[in-house]
Amino acid sequence: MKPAQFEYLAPATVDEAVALLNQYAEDDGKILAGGQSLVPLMNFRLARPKWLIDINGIEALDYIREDGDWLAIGAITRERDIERSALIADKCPLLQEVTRWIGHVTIRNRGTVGGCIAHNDPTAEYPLAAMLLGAEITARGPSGARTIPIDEFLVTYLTTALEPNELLTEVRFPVMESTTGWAFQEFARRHGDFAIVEAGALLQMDNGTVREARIAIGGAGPVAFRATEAEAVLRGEKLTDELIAEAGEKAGGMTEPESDVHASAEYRTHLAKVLTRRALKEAQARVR
Amino acid sequence: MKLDGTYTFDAPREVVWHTLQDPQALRNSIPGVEEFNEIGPDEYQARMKIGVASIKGTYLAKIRVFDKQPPTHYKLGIDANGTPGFVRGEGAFDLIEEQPGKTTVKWEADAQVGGLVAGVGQRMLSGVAKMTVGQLWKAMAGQIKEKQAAS
Amino acid sequence: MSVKKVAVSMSINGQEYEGLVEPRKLLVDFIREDAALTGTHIGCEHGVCGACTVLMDGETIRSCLTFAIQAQGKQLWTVEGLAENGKLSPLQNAFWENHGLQCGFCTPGILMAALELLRDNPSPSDREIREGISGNLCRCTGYKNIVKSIAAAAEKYQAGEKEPVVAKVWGASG
Repeated sequence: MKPAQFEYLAPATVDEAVALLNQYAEDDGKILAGGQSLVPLMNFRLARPKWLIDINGIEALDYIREDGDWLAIGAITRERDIERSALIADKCPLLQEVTRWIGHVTIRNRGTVGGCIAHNDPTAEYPLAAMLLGAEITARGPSGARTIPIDEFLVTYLTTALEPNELLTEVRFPVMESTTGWAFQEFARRHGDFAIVEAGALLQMDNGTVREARIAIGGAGPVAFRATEAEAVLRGEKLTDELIAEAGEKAGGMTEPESDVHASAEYRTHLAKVLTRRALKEAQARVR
Repeated sequence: MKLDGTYTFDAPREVVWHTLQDPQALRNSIPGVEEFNEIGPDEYQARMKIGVASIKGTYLAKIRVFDKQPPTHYKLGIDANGTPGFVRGEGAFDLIEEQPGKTTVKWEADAQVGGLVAGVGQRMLSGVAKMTVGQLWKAMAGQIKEKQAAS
Repeated sequence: MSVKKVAVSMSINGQEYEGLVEPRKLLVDFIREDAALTGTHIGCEHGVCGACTVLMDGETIRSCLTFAIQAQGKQLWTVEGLAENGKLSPLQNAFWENHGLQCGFCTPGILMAALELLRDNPSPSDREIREGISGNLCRCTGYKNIVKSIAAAAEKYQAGEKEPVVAKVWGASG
């Protein structure tokens, strides 16, 4: 179908964009970033914004920089640029790996890191990666900027902590330590589909004993979440296959999945356990 | 689409029952309500904007309350039509006072969803439904607190 | 809601096109209607089938997920830009010789995707070709001959055949 009518605005700077959002947010105003999620919704007429604020022209939001212990990525940085960034490959390899699972090249040419995380589809890859890595979000409103930790930012299904008149301007990912073992596992019917369930793991170990573990799961609840109960059974313990299996069970216990046309709730819980186990094994193999 | 759940209120059953039946409380609890009128005994008409994030639609709904067995049980029927589609269904509500001052509502709903939102919005459907129902209960809890504070 | 039409102009296959469009007009509709270039097809209108794939400023995009006004001032290339002086390009010949199409509905999108794939990866493996075109759906061929055609095109390029559009899109270095 064709989308419903809207007025189109194309600010050139962040200040302009924030001013427009402040003016039109309460009157069905919406930010247009890559459009790879929003425009399908508009073409289906499930979303009918009255004012479309296109931020693709704001060059100041297109960057990947190292900033101390962080990698700062501007909101409209294309997923394809993240995929091909030597800096990301070196300092945050999990983010690069996760990016390869987002749709297809053509989608990644336009899709943006800011748009993806602000949309917060529970089956998308970037919200999960952000949750796993402990990212921070910068949001700009009419009264200034604020930094929001990712676990506060991702609230629930398609909902974030952004106020209606706030623009996501930057996502910061912590630089990964070179000794960290990492892994990302996704199950989908076809490569490039939205995940049915996805899981990521980070491990820091000392001679076979887990010093620090982080596990995040997407697609098995209304929002990506940290499987903290699974992390807890791992910390301070020798990483055996039995312990990994236990962590998988604990992760499955934290899921709140829905049944839909793609998978039943039970299957999603099952996938969460299996993918957690596989991610932990893969992360273990990468530990240095 | 079948949904069910429970919600516990920190209030005696009588208070919960009366608030759930009170048109004013209903009006204040329905998410995105733009209009709410009583059109007959236990029959209401509402216009509401429902959805999540940018996926919103305006629905005109007829709601009727029936099979009332105070203070333990009632049923609710809804027939809503809007641009993104329609929702028709029934819900059954059972109020159980497990401890004095704590009432749990067990609810079960069976809805037919049709039109655009059911066709292409499948991925969104149960997520939005769960969120909307969650918002409704939370708002109701607020209404009940207000009623208690007033009395 | 009555929205004023907006003037838009863009270059498609090296030629300037202008139009007066509602903001909501999809780029694929501008290409097909205002520019009368009907080689680009609409399959799903929600970004999953790839039939609408075109090149915009050197990158493949879903033209059904882009508004015409977003292409203001940009350089677009569609399937009509591949042949030169009535001669099929090496990529097109590869598809012809290897039976890489049946109904042809998906083919324009696949050709544009193949151009980008072969530019990024001049000698892709079978698997890499399959991954490279995974965003394009074909209902007829089962993909086998599509993959064969793209591999054959890669060989043609290795043998020195030039794809005319490449220099036009990405400059002389190609």
